[in-house]
Amino acid sequence: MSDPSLLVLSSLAEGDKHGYLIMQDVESFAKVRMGPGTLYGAITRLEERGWIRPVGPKDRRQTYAITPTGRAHLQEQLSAMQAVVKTGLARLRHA
Amino acid sequence: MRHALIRLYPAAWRERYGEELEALMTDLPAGWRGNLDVFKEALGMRLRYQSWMKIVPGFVIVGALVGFLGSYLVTTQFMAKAVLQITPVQISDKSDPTLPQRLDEEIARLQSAVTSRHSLAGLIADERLDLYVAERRTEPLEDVEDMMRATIHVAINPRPFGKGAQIFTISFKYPDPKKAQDTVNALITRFIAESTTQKAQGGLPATIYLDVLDPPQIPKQPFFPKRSVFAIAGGLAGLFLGFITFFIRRVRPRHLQPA
Repeated sequence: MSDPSLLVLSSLAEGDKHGYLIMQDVESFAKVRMGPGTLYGAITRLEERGWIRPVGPKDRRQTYAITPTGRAHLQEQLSAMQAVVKTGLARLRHA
Repeated sequence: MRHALIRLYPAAWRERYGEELEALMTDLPAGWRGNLDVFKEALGMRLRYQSWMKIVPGFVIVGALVGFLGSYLVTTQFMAKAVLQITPVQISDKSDPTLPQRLDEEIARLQSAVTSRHSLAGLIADERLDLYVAERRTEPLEDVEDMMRATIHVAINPRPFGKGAQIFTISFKYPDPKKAQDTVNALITRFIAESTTQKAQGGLPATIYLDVLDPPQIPKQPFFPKRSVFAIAGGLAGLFLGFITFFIRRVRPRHLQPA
């Protein structure tokens, strides 16, 4: 999985985070080092779609939280991926 | 550096996220990868967010600039040209209604002989002309001959030039203007020599003469590339790409106010 939006949503599914923490979290669980521009590109798109929102006071290190619709979208995307992964692995085993 | 990169984002985006991105970049170790990532995203954000009034002219300007600068990457060609006249001397010839057609055929016959493989091989091997030095090292002689033939152009004036004479031009294109001129002079010499040979062999009436009306000059301006044409083509390509980009951009952050 390398879609920055899904990576950010997956990170925020654990709890609210600011940009630097999201980058560290994504690197630890997905082994993907996102650039700062990529991260804020994803944050812009996710906020535009209403899948994340800023929380707490306006700050240079703004914290973001996943919204219920964002959680639902993430659930849907990961389930679809899971089905692909499951099928792919099963086919590899029987090939 | 950070500040300059963030300035590349649209103003409304900077107002909303600029400080956050700058703070994040401060927290991260400096590196060209991070800067390149911000640069790339800033351009992408501009394409997604800017109105077509800014995107399309931007593409046109960049396209025209790329076209203009690209014209310096192509090999410059200079064209030297000479004007010749073929004239029947006998009065009986001048009153012949089939004369223009016969003269055209004579010119075509001379051209065919002068641009034959044997003739071109002689011109290419001529040390005074020193043509196609690099190509001769890497290409077979036949290919170099074909290359040269493609740059020689003989054009017959569509209207007979009075008193039964016919006018035609010989031109040659080459990266070196002096060599272009020298080669046209060599081609004229071969035309005249060939006409003499054909007269001697009875292939051409002895009463037909070739004259040089306008000898070749050293061309001052390149024939190719026309930098203005390259710039216009680049601008048009930019116009097309600008509209394509405008229509295919998928995400437009509506929560940001236009700049």
